[in-house]
Amino acid sequence: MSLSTTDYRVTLRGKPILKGLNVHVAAGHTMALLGANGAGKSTFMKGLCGLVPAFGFASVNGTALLGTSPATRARMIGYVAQDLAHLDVRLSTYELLLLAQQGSARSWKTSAEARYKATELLELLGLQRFAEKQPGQLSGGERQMISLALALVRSPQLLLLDEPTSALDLANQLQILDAVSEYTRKHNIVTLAIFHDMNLASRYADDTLMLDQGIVHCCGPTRTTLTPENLAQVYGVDCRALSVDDGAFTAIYPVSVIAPGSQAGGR
Amino acid sequence: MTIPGVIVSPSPQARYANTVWRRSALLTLLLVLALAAFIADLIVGSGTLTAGEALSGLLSPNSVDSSTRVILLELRMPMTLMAVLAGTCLSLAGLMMQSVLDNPLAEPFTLGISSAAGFGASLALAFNVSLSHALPELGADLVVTANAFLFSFVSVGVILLLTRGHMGLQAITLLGIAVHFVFSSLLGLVQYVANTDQLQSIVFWLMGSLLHATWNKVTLCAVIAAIAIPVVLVQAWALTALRSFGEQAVVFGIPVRRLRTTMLVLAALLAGAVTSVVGVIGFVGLVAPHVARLLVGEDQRFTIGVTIACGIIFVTLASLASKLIVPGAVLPIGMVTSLIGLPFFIILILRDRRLTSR
Repeated sequence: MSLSTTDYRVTLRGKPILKGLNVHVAAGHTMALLGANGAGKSTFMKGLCGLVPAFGFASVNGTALLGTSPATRARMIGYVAQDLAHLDVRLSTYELLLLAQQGSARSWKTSAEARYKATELLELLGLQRFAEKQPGQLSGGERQMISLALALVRSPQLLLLDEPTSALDLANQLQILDAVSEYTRKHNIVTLAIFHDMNLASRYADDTLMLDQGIVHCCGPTRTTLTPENLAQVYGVDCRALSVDDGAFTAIYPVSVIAPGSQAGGR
Repeated sequence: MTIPGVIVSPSPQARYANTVWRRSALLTLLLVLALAAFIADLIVGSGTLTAGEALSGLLSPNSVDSSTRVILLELRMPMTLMAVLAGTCLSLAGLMMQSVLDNPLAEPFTLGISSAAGFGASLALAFNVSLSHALPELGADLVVTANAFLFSFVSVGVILLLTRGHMGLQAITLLGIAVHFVFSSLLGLVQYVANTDQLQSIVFWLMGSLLHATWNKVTLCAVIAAIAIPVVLVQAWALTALRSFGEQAVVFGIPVRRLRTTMLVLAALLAGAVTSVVGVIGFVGLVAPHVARLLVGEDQRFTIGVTIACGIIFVTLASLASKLIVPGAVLPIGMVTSLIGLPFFIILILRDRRLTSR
């Protein structure tokens, strides 16, 4: 039970974005996907869920992903996009949750199970009050939570979160990420999340993968990977790692830019 | 919305069931209205036949004389059925175009179908040049229609060929505009070189008229509608996903590209068939889908049906009005549709908070 990629490549408009990545994430783990702007983090996710063509090999629990039909991938993957601008439609949150489960199903009626799961998900994420609201009536952060609900309601084996908390306030950040990491462990799935806040990565990710210009810079347990050395090399920023609450958490504090303009840092 | 003191608020499930019930009721109501409009259009004519005579002729054809029967079955019935089919096909094609191109301004003719069909028809009308001459013998009444239909398909075929591989929505829309201008220039050219009589028949054709309807043409459109509607209905959930998530519907298991191509081809077939028979009837294809969305939202299981019902109601009422406005004459349907539909549409827009705020 895991996610693995071998020689995973994506080329967009003739430009190689991901240049052969070998990554392995164990089930039940949350992996932070880090890297400077343009490193290929979002592309990594889009290639897995079929939004951009990807090559090489990638599998979830031994089932190959690349080259399979959208329906096959959709059964395995839940994806929360960074850009939710499109999620502005004349449907209530509850209807969207039903729609997310219907997918390409031929059946015309919604199943009782789907209706039950929609209600269950609203409760899990504390979104009951939005059940009848349309996304257009909600704030950016609320829409982000709805988008997460749409990904989770389909019981994915691989959950891809592209900056899942970028629009959330402090309390909601913790609440949503607590829910996600608990869900990941409980259902033994793999969660990949792109963060720009190193403290969230440090707190929630079991593993960390740092991308630098389309290749793996480092990958491993967050404790040994999310270090000031790696951050300096990947982001070109001098950081300190601080112990909080007697080592219960590690906080990352950025001090200064080492190499202005050069995001490739030590390379 | 919980009211203090009320303890039991219905669950989302119960409220959803209620919503579904309300939408089904509304759809049924609109279909009944469409049927009523159909019957009204059939019994009201521009000629001397009274409504009572027409009604009794329809209920028991043997009780009326043969001329009444001919008027009813050979003149009125094809026209009215054509109005129903025009409403059905154009509104459905409009809904598909708006969904597929993700553009609220899209309509059946966005990809240049109207000018392509117009050009095809004008070639046949002015010079008796028709692509259909390559086909086995067609009835004389079908030559103009067939040419218009084939040319409308040429326009969409060209666009699909050019955009294959990289189906950017903007690219498709812009190419549609380009194709539209190519064919309208060519149409202008035909009009320029045509003589007065030919020019008149071209202009009359372009205005859109149900008077061209015959049983053959009705059958053509009915067959295409009968093929397209089930295909679209089966894809109702997929289309809802496309409306809600756009490109990202892929993540929910929707083969977005294939769905888009299928729907574009169907929309072209529907719009091309109707346009080649009755000429250009604007407005319906643009507006019926919007009205449907305002009434039942984006759940395409209901939007599709309500769009079609609205389309039928619009066109049959317009047909009715076109016979009544000037007694003894039948105005071109294309003009009347917009005139009677617009005020209604404007009221709907102004009453919708979602559209008028921000």
